[in-house]
Amino acid sequence: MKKTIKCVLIDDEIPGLTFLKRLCEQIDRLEIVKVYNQSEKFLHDKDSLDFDLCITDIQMPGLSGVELVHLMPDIYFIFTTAYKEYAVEAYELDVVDYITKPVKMERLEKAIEKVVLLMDRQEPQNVKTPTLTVNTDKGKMVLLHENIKYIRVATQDSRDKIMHLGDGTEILVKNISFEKLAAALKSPQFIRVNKGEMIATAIVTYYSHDLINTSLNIASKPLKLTLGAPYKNDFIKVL
Amino acid sequence: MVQIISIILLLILVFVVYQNFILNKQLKKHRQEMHQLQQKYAGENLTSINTRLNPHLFKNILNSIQSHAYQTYYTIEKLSNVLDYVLYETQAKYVSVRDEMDFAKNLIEINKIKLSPLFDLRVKIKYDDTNPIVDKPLMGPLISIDLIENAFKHADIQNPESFISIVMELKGDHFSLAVSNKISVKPKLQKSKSGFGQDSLESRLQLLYPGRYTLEKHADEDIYFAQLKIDLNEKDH
Repeated sequence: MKKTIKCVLIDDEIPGLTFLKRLCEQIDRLEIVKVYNQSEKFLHDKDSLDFDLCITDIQMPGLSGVELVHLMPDIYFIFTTAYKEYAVEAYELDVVDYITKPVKMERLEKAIEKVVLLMDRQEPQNVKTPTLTVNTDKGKMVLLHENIKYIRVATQDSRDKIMHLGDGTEILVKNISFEKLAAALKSPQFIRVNKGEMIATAIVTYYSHDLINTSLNIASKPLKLTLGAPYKNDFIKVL
Repeated sequence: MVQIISIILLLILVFVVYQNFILNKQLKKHRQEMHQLQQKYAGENLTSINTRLNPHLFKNILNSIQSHAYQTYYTIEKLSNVLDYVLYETQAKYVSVRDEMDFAKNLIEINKIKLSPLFDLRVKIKYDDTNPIVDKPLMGPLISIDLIENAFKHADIQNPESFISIVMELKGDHFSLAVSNKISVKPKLQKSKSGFGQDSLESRLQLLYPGRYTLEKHADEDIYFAQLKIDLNEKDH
């Protein structure tokens, strides 16, 4: 079965809201989470609601529909309004559709179809695997985060780092700081264990107060690391 | 000589009088024009007041009327379905589960006309279309009416905190209907006859599904809860 779209309806006028709700109830893919006649009330509740779409009037006392769009960039919006003049402003904003009142069923269904298309397109993006682009001694390289297991300071130059990938390959990455790495390779997937080493948390097998055992083999021996005192708290929090 | 002078003076006098007459006429004409202009200006002012009356106001009212008209149209259709069911289907001892569930849906739809769109009404009516039980005549007609009607009758529909929840389900050969609502605090209407109420539901269930149903009811402070469960499979017993 297709995924349902969870939506919130807002209109300051009850008759308009009643009508909109009736129409929405007849669209199978829509699940009405909640209905508001005051935009402030919606704003107050929004964090406790689970919804993908907001169908709202533009002209409302208090917060207008346009302001709501600015406040909620992650939500799909459909505007309904009696005023055709707002259309231009609505298109400048990133709203899915703009319906003039009186709302017609076919028009509403079309707008919902657009949301469906957008949601379907977004889904694969969400599961896209994160990558990291680095400068190696052989040139630029794109690494999947999941393939990076262990990073240590290079012996020759402390500005360079050596990255161990799961398959046993080692890469020399030129001139990159741990701070920069930590910004790209975020906790809790990655954690720094001491001044010169950073690991993927997935490779940790067991650890004591100052020693970490990992499932990563280097030169056919399991890698053991010391846990630096300043990094201990963060490490324990993540594990 | 004197004669000539007097003639000239007379002529001058005539000229002056004539001039005066002309000037007076012009002045009158100007006054009239001025008056006309003033009137015209006042008229213009009036029309600008007219245009200041926002035509959107009427558009809004039109939209409201449309909303009401749609509500009416929609509810009439559902009411017609309910009436058809009551008139033509309920003569039989048993109806299909699908028919009874569709009836319940329509019943809820027509009751919605009493509710504000803001009212928290949660409805879930679920059955599996591939379930062979769905189309078998196993349901007592109007079995669901009492619990649903009661919810709408006793819920405090003006209170924003109030709610009604109706869950109707067919799982395998088990039918269940759970209704809960916040009870109105206002005093109940005194009725001499309990009428076609809960007692008759119990006795009908007893007749139709002896030993195969449970009807639970309890009130928790201001929340009323009722659940009906029926095992539709006769062979088990």
